[in-house]
Amino acid sequence: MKHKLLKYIMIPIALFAFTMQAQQRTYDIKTIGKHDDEVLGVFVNGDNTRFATSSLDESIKLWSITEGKELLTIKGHLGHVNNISFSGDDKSIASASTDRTVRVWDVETGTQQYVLTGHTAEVIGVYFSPKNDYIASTSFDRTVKLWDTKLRTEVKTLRGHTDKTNDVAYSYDGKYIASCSDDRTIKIWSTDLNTKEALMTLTGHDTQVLTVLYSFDSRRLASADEKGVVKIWDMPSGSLIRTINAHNEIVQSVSWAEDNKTIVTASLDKYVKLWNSETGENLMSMDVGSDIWGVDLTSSADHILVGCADGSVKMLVETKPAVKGKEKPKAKGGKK
Amino acid sequence: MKHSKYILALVFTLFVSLQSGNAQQVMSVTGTVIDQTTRNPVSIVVSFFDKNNKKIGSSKSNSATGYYLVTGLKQGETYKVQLESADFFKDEYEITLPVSKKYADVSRDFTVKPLVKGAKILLDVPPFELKKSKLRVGAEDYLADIKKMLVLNPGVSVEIQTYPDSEGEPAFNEAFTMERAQAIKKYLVENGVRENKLSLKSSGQTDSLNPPPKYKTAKGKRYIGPIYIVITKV
Repeated sequence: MKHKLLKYIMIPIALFAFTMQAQQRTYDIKTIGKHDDEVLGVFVNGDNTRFATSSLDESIKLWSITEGKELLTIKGHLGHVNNISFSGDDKSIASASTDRTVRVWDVETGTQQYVLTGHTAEVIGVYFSPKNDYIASTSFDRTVKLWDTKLRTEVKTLRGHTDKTNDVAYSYDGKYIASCSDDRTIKIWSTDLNTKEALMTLTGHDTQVLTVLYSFDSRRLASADEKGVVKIWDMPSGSLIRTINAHNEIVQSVSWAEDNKTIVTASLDKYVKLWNSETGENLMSMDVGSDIWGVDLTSSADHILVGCADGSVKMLVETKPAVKGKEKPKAKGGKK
Repeated sequence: MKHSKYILALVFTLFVSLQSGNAQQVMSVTGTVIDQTTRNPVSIVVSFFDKNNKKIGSSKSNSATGYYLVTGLKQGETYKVQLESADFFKDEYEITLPVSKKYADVSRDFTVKPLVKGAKILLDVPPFELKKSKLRVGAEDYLADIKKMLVLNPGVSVEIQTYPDSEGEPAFNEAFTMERAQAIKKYLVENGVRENKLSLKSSGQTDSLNPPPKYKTAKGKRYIGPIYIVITKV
C-alpha cells in the first residue's frame, strides 16, 4: 500500500522534472559574417534555407542557413535599410529605407524589380501579404500604406496613429494588419480595401511600441517596446494575455516559432531570449556581446539569426533539440 | 435567320459599348496634405493637369484633416499635380495612374512647406553620414526637393542652418558644420538656385531645440546634427 502511494507521488514529480528539462533549450553561437555598419533587420525565408539582413550600410545581404555563409549583397537604396520581408514564395525581398522608398528585389540575382514611392518620411517597416499581392509599409509619416505588387502602386493609406509608426505585420490568414507606434498603441486594420478606419486600438504599453508580429495561426500577436516589455495579445479579440518583462533595454525585434507558442526576443541589452508565450517561461537567454537590432528564427527554433549593432551577423544553432510530442512543423510561406 | 442577324448586331453593339465604357472608366486620387514642419493637416488647392497642361480636376484639402479627392482622371495617364496656397510654397509632383478595374481610387499624400518668414524646414533625411561633411551618395534626391522649392518660388531667400552631431570643441564643431552648409549650398547653386538667395549659418553647439539623445534610441532614430532651411525672405 505504502509502495503504491509512493509510485503515485514519484511519477508526477518525475514527469514535472522531465518537462522542465525539456523546456530549456541550449544553443552554440557563431559569427557568420559582417555588414559595414549596424545590422537593423533580419528575416528568415519560408522554407528555412536562407535569411536576409538589412543594415545602416544601405545594403541587404542574403545568407544560407544550411551553409552558414553569405550568398549575395544587394545595393541600391539611398539610405539605411531599416527592415526587410521575404515574399511568401521566397522569390522577392521587400525593403524599407530611410530614403523614403520601399524597394523590391529579386532574391536570386539581387536586381531591383521596382521602387514604391509615396511615403513622406523615412520608411521603417515593411511586410508582404501572405499571397504576395500586397506589401504593407509603415513610416515615420505616421501612416501605414498598402501597395499593389502587380500594379506597383499605392492603393490605400491607413491613418490613425498620432505619432511615428514603427512596424507593421500581416496576419497569416490575410485578414488583418497590425501596426505599432510611438503613440504607445497598436492598431489593427482590415485588409479590405474599403475599410480605412482601424478596427481596434490596443493599449497597455506605457512607452513607444517598436515591433509587432502575428503568430502563424493568426491567433496571437506579440508586441515589444522601448523599455524591453513584451506583450502577448489574443487575436482577433485584442485581449491582453500576458506581459513579459523580457529585457532591460529597447526590444526592436520579436519572432514566432511555428508552434505558435515559442517566441524569440532580442534587445539593445545584448541578450537574445527564447520564451514560452503561454506560460511566460524563459527557455533560453544568451549574451551575444553586442546590442541587437534584429532577430528571427527557423520554424522549429533550431536556428536563431541575430543582427547586431557592431555589424556582425550571428547564428545560434541548437545543441540539444527540444523534446517534443509532435513532429517538426512544416514551413509556411511568408513567415517572419 | 433574320432574327439571328439582329441578335448578332445586338451582341456586337453591346460588346462595343462595354469596351468604350471600360475605356472611359475614371479614377480618383485621394490623400492628405500636411505641413512638412509641423506634420499638421493643411488646406490647399490640389490641381491635376494632363500632358497638354489642361486642368482636369481640382480639390481644396480639408483644413482639419488635410483630406483631398480629385476625380475624373484616366487610368494609365500621367498627371502633373500642383499644390497652391498663399501660405505655402507652390509645389509640383508627377503621378502616373495604374490601369486596373480593381480600384476606383488610389492614394497619394503630399507635404508642403510654409511660406512664412522665419519658418524652419528640417531636412528630415540628413544628406550627410554621421560625422561626415561630404554629401552622401543619393543626397541629391532629398536636396532636389529644396532645389525645386527655390526654383519654383524665385522670390524666396533662405538661410542654411547646420548643427553638429554631438557636443564637442565649439570651434571644431563650427568649422565642421560650416563645411556641411557649404556642401549644400554648392549643390543648390550648381543646380540652378541663385547664389544671392542663399546664406549660411553654422553652429558650434548642438541644437537646443532638438538635442542629441541621452539614451539609446530605437531603429531609424539615429541622431545626426539637424539641418534647417530657414526662410529669410518671401
